[in-house]
Amino acid sequence: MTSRRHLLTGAAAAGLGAAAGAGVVAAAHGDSPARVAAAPGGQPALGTAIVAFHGARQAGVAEDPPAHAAFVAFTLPATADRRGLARMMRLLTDDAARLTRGEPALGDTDATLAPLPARLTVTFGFGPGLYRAAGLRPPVADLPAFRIDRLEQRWSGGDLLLQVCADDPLTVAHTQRMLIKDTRPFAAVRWVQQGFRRSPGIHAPDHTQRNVMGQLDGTANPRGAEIDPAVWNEDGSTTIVVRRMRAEIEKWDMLSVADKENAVGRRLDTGAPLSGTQEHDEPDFTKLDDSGLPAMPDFSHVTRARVTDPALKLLRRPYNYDGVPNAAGHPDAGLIFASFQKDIARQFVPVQQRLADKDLLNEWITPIGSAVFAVPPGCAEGGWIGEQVLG
Amino acid sequence: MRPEATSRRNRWLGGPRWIQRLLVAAAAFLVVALPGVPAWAHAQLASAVPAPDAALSTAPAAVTLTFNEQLNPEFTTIVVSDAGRQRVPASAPAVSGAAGTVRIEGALGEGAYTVAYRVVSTDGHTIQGSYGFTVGDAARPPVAAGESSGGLPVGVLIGIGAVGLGLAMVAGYLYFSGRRRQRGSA
Repeated sequence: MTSRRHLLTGAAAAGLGAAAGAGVVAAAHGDSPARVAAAPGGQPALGTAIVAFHGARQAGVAEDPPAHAAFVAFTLPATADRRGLARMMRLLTDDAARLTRGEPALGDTDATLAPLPARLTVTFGFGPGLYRAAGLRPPVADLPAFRIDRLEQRWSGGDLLLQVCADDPLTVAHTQRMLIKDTRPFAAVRWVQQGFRRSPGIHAPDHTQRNVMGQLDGTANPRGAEIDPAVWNEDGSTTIVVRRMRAEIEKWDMLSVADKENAVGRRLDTGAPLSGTQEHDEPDFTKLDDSGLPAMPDFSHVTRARVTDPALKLLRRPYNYDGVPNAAGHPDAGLIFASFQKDIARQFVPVQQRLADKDLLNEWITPIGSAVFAVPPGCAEGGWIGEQVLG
Repeated sequence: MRPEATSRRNRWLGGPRWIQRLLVAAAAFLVVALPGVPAWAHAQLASAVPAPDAALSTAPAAVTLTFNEQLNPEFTTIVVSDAGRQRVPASAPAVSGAAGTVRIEGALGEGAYTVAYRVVSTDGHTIQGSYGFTVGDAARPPVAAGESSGGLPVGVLIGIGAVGLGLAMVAGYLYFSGRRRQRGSA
């Protein structure tokens, strides 16, 4: 009964949103998070906030990540060809352009769910298989096998990726449903991974989020002007790596706080490196404690993952997942690791290789899914995502 | 409760009542305390060459630390520092089973030295500690030698255990005296 009431309230709110006017937008695209305008008519500003879909670069990369995400990967049939793929991308681009500005998709069977985009973004990624189907040389290659990998087919690979993000899970659900519906004639769903971060209003937008293991996650991310040289190619394209990292929480729970901090190289409470006092202090790998041991353990995650060259940094945009516990009560939780970088082979692979070779945190995290996609440039109004590749 | 049921239970438990209470209290303590205690079996330094506080007349060519558990070579750090807290050039640790060895490059001069280690036991706990030794007539190094497991010190664990046991015994006593009163009034 409660759920039905919520559903009705939601529908009513959505109707109000439509009436209040889809014109209430505060568009932002690129480096700054969407600026949220106070909407007239008592409409909550979070719900009507819009991130511009059109632009030289796709949205859903550099903005402050919204609270909810669905990563949807598809497999193309053997019969897929360039013309069919172009048709599919025209259709999906049109859907995404409408939904992200709070309008129903064409033929939207539940148009009442469209008016509250809540910073909705839809980001398209092309896997190696899509390029091959189009008769093109793939600009991205599957990752090499790492010894820590325990990859499961059901979370790995994919020819097409849709990354759907919004500050509201119902908006994500509706968008996912509409886009899958329109992709069905062209491709089969391969996997869906749904994740979450802290909700808006919980803390300041530039605050580093915590993952399900309690760690501040993303402290070393490039920010502001640091993003461009690490992420964007001149043509507005980038790449995404999506890896599903299962957290071995039952084992993690056996550790003391000091054990956990040694594994990560940071304080759990403040996120400060063990060589410093504040979250954003640069880790000092030369600092020794009184007994002569390096303050930053040389096997800690931060020590091993460190990248100093600004052009080689990764823009991490991960989401937590928390599935259904098993009968014994053990959680099915972890991280949907997502990173954007210009070049996977030059930026992502070396870091992952170092972590696979030696990282104490490996004892408590297991990669169970892995996929790579090129993220083609954005498009202008009237254009479509992928036109430079498939047009 | 019917009297025969009570007496049957007493026969089954057997022995005087204070023993029953002690058993219940002990069981309660185990139930409460065990799941919260991070594994007892941490790695520990079992022996070292040179030994802690050794006063050597000739400089050692290597330092070998032996633990009570297999070491993971990836997660084994052993460093030797001089009295000025400068790291003595040494090889990366060679790990064999439960022992890790660093070869010292060049001869150590007379003076006080500190050996520090940070290793990870098979269950993932970090154990670190340090000790000193001297070469020649130098004074003992001013390092507070010791070992920490990253968890609570053993003393604190024992203290927590004692408090827990006490609380469990009080709870057990209240439980049984409460039941006796109930039976009495029934």
